[in-house]
Amino acid sequence: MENLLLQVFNGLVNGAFFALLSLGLAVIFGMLRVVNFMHGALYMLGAFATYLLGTSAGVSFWWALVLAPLAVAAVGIVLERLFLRRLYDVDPLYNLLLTFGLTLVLQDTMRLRFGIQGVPYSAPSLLKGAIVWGNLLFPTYRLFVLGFSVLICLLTWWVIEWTRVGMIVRAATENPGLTRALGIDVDRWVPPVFAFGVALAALAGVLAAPMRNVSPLMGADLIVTTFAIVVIGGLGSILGSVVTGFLVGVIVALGAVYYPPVSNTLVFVLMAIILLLRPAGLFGSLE
Amino acid sequence: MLQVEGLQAWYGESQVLHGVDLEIHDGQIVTLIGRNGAGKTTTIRSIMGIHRQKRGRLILDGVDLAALPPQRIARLGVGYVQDDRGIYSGLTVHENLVLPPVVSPDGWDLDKIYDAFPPLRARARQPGTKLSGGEQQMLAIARVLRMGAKLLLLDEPTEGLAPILVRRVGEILREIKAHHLTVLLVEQNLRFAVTVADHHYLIVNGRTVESLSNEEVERREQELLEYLGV
Repeated sequence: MENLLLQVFNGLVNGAFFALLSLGLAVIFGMLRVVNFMHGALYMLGAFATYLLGTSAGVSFWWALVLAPLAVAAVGIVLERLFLRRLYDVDPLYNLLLTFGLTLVLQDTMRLRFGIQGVPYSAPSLLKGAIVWGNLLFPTYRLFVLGFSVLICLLTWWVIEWTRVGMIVRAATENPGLTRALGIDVDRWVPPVFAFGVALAALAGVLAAPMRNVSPLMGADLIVTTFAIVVIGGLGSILGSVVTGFLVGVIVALGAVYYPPVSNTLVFVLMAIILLLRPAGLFGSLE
Repeated sequence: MLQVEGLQAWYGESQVLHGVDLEIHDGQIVTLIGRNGAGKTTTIRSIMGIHRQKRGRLILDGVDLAALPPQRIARLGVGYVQDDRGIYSGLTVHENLVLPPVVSPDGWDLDKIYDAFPPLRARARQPGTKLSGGEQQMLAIARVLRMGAKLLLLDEPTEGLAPILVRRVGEILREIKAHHLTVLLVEQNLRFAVTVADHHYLIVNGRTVESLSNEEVERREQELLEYLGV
């Protein structure tokens, strides 16, 4: 029983990364209709930005939580203005290919500089140690990751549901053509929305830096599962991506305990079942 | 207010408008009549800037609309109500109303909107698409009135509505006219058209072939009905 509780906790922590990543993907897909394949690479850049800010400028983890996502978002805006926007009018497949190519470029650039093993980064002293609860030991840093990610997801949900910007994003997601005809310059909102989605990926990278090895391929391992989560949750659904992110984190963790060989396959089995029963995903609607 | 001269439009290689000419004066309600596929919706979408593959002159109060994107045309005071009403399911009734920017001081404020369309007030917090078809039509029209549009492009507002709701749309149109707004209305229902409009254009195979007064429409009803394929 206690072991189960601990595994659910670890699953939720893993789910926190999935939730931030798939939320960013969902926001970007909704507004741009772009399947951003380089999302994992941007997560990786977030982790490296944290490491570089720390080693070369002495920036603390706390400041990196703000500065690294801003820096990676700036990279994202440059890539969007330089490359992505030229392909909005053609088949979405082209942007998938483009972002796949950019992923390889970003990964190999970091590999040339840092090698394949990656670099270590330690958690701030405030978050070291663990909180003991009965016989259970909860690492403080993991608790922080979980709490912080839930906070960011709630904040994003609030912005999308309750602000004018969020209303425009919802309208443009549902029907970009009509939204333009109602006097809204949809295209003006594309770079900031893209930057926001990228910042979420980078933020997940910052949170990952002290927990996982900071390495050029750290995003590649995660992105495939993240895509499965977005499909399960319903393409472009904000709520769906967050809920499914946490759900899949827990499922993978439990699978690893009870029957390790299927742990990584479980997500895709779930995806296949959901696609059969609800082709639009758990929270999606068919257009 | 609006002059359209020699409007041609294409979908890819195939030409769908071969020469649409029409003129609407301030405060008029003008209908476009014609059978399905004649080019009525394409005409409206071309004026609105949504349809880009086009040629011809589209002049709104001296401004050439032909090269402008839809958001600029909307901000010049053109309100678009598309044929499926275009209500967002992800937005509440209230959000559907306040989504477009207010582009002129003549825009109706929310109180005025809700007084004119009481069902919208009662259901302001519900998703827009939970409304009935007739209520969605009211919402789509109310949305562009709140914007302060001076020219309304209405694509078949009576389509699929029960007779009592068609009468209600007629009342709304007369109220719009009383506010000196101008309307270009796509309409299949001739009897309804003559009760609300000042003038009519018959469009056949992508060309405006006749310009008709109410009297002419009434006198030639049978002949026109054949054109419409009713």
